[in-house]
Amino acid sequence: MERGEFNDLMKDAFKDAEVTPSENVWTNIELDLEKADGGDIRRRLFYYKMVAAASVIFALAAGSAALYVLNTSLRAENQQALLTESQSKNTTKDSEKILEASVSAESNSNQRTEPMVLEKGRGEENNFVGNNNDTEKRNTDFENEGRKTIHKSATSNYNQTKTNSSLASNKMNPVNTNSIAQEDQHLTNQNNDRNVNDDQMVFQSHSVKTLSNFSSPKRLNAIDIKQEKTDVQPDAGALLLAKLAQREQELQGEEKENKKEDRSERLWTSLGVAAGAFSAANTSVSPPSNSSIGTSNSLANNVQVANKQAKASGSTYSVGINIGTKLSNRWIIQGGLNYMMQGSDYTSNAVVTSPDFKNFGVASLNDLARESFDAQLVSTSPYQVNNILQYINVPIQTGYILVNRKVGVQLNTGISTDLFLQNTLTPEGGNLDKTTQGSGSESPYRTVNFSGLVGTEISYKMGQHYRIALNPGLRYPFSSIYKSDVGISASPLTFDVGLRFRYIFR
Amino acid sequence: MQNGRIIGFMLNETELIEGCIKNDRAAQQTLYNSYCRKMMVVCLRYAKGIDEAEDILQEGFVKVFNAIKNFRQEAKLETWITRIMVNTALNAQRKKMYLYPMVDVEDLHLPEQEVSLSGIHFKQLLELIQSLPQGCQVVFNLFAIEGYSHKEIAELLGISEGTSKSQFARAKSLLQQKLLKESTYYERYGEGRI
Repeated sequence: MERGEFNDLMKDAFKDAEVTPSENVWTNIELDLEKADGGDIRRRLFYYKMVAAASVIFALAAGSAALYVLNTSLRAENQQALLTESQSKNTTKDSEKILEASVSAESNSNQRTEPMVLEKGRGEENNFVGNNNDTEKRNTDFENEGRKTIHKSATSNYNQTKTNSSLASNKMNPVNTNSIAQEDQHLTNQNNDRNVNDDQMVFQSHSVKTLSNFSSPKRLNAIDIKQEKTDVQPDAGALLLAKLAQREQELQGEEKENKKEDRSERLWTSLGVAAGAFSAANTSVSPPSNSSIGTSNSLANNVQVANKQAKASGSTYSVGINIGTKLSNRWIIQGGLNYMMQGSDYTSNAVVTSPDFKNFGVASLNDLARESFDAQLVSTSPYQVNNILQYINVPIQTGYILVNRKVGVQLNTGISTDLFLQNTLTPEGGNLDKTTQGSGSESPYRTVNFSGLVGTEISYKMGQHYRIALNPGLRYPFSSIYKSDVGISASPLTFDVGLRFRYIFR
Repeated sequence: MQNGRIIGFMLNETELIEGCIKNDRAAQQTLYNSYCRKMMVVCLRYAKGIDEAEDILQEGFVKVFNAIKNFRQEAKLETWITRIMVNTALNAQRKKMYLYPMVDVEDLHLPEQEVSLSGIHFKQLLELIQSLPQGCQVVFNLFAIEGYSHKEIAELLGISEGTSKSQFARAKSLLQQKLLKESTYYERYGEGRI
C-alpha cells in the first residue's frame, strides 16, 4: 500500500508534538537505575573480592616459590660447605706433606721454593712446582692418598680439620731454607691463637647460616602484611552493601564521589620502600678458557669461589621515587628512580694473597675475573663473607587498573634499567679487610643490565590526594648480571613487597 | 549547576552520551529532560491513556540508559530513543494483543469525502488514535507514522502481511470517520471545543 497524503499529514501532525510527563516518571526511572546499580555493585564487589583473592594467592605462591628456591639453594650450599671442609682437611694433609717434601728438596738444593697453590685430588692440576723429580713423585703419591681419604674425612673430626687447615695455610708461606725453622717455630706459637680464632669463625659461620635459614619469616611477614591489607576489603564491601540497602541517597552520593575520583587521578608521584629476597639458584659457572678463572692454575679452587659467590641467595632492599600518569581510564604508565641493595652471605674457604704472601684478602670474583690478577688463592678454614651489590634502577612500567575505587587493584609489567654501582665484600671474623669495587672494566658485574618486572599493586585511597599501596612483585634480569667473559650465568629472581605512598596531583 | 558541574544545554550531545555511559545521574536527567516530552507523545500514540504511556516512557528510558553504551552515533539520538520507545510499547501491547487477536477485516466503510487534518490539534488526534482497537492502533502507528512496511510490521507483530494491511485499512477508515464527524462538528459549532 502506498503511503498517501493522509499518512504524511498524520506524520506531520506529530512532528513537533510534545507532552510533558508527570515528575513521577523521572523519580521512578531514577529508582529503577539505582536498583540496577545496586545489583551491578554487588556483582562488582564479588568481582573485586575475586581479584583481591587472586592477588593474595599470587603473592603467596610467588613468595612460597621464592622461599622454596632459596631454601633449596641454602641446603645445597650447606652440603657443599661440608664437602669443602672435608676436602680442605684432605688438602691440608697433602699440603703438609708437600711442604715437608718441598723443604727437604729445598734443603738439598739450597734454593728458594716457588709460591704454590694447593690442589687436591687432581694429578693434571699439579700444585707443586719444583725441580726435584722425587718431590713430584711424592706429591703424586700424596694426591692419590688424598683422593682415598675424601670420604673418610667427610665424617672426620671437624675441629681437627680446622686445625690442620689452619696449619696448612700458615705453613704455605714461601720460605728460605734458613728461615724455615724460625718460621715454623713462629707459626707453632701462633697456632693456638689461630685455632681459637678459627673456632670462632666456624661458630660465626654456622650462626649466620642459621640466621639466613630463618630469613624466610621476613618474607612471610611481608606477605602477612599484604594479607591483612586485603582482608579489609570484605568489610568495606559489606559496609557498602548495607549502605545500599538502607539509604539509596547515600549510595548515590558515594557513586558520584567515586566518579569524581576516577576523573581526578591523572598524575601522581610516589615514594616507596621495598624488601624481599632473591634467589640465584639458576646460576651456572662454566669459565671459558680465556677467562681468568679458567686459565688460572687452580681451576677447581677458583670455580669453587665463583660458585659460592655467584650462587649465594639473600635479601634485597630498595627505596625510590616514582611518577605515573593515566593513559586511559584503565591503563597507566609509571617510571622512576630506585636505589637497590642486594645482600647475600656465603661461606668461603679461600683467601687471595699477594705473590709475596704478605697481604691477604677475601677470595672473590672481583679478583678472579680481573685480567691483571696476579695473586694466588690459598685454602683456609671456612669463613663467612657478606656480599652487597648496589644498583640504581630506572624502571618503566605499564599498568592495568582492575579496580579503581577507594581500594585499587592494578597489574603492572615493565622493564628496568639496572645500573651497577658497586659491590662490597665484608669478611666476618675480623682478620681480613672489607673490600669495595665499583663498576668498570675491573668489575665482574655488568655496568648496565635490563630486568623484566611484573607485579600487582593493591592500594587504598586515604584522602583526596593520598594513596597508600602495597606492591608485591618479581624482577628477573634478561641477561646475566656478570659480564659474559667471566663465564658465569646468573639471573637472580627477586621477589619483593613494596610499600608506596602516593601523592595525587590531579 | 549540580555538584559543581554545569549541566543541561551547555553539554553537547556527545558529552551527554558519555556522561550517561558513565552512569552520571545528572547527565541522565539532562538527556531525559531533553527527550521526555517528545517520547511521551510516542508512548501516548501506542497507549490507551496517560498512565500507561508513562509506564512505557519509564521502562523505555531505563532501557535507553542501560543500552546507551551500545549507541554508535550512526543514527540521530532521537531516532534511536524513539525506536527503543516503540519497541517497549510493542512489548507492552503484544501482551494485550493475545487478548484481542487481530483478524482480517472484510467490510470497510471508507468515507467518500477526503478528510483534512488542518486545524486539528495533535492532542485530538492522539485521542482518536487511542480510541482505535488495540491491533489497529499499533499497526496504524507503525505504518502511518513510524514508516514501517507491512512486511516489517507482520514480522514485528507475528501476523500476516494481509492482516497488517487490513488492520491499517480499518484504522484509517475509523479515523477518517471520526475526523469527518469532528470536522462536521467544527463546521457547525466552531473550534471552541478544542
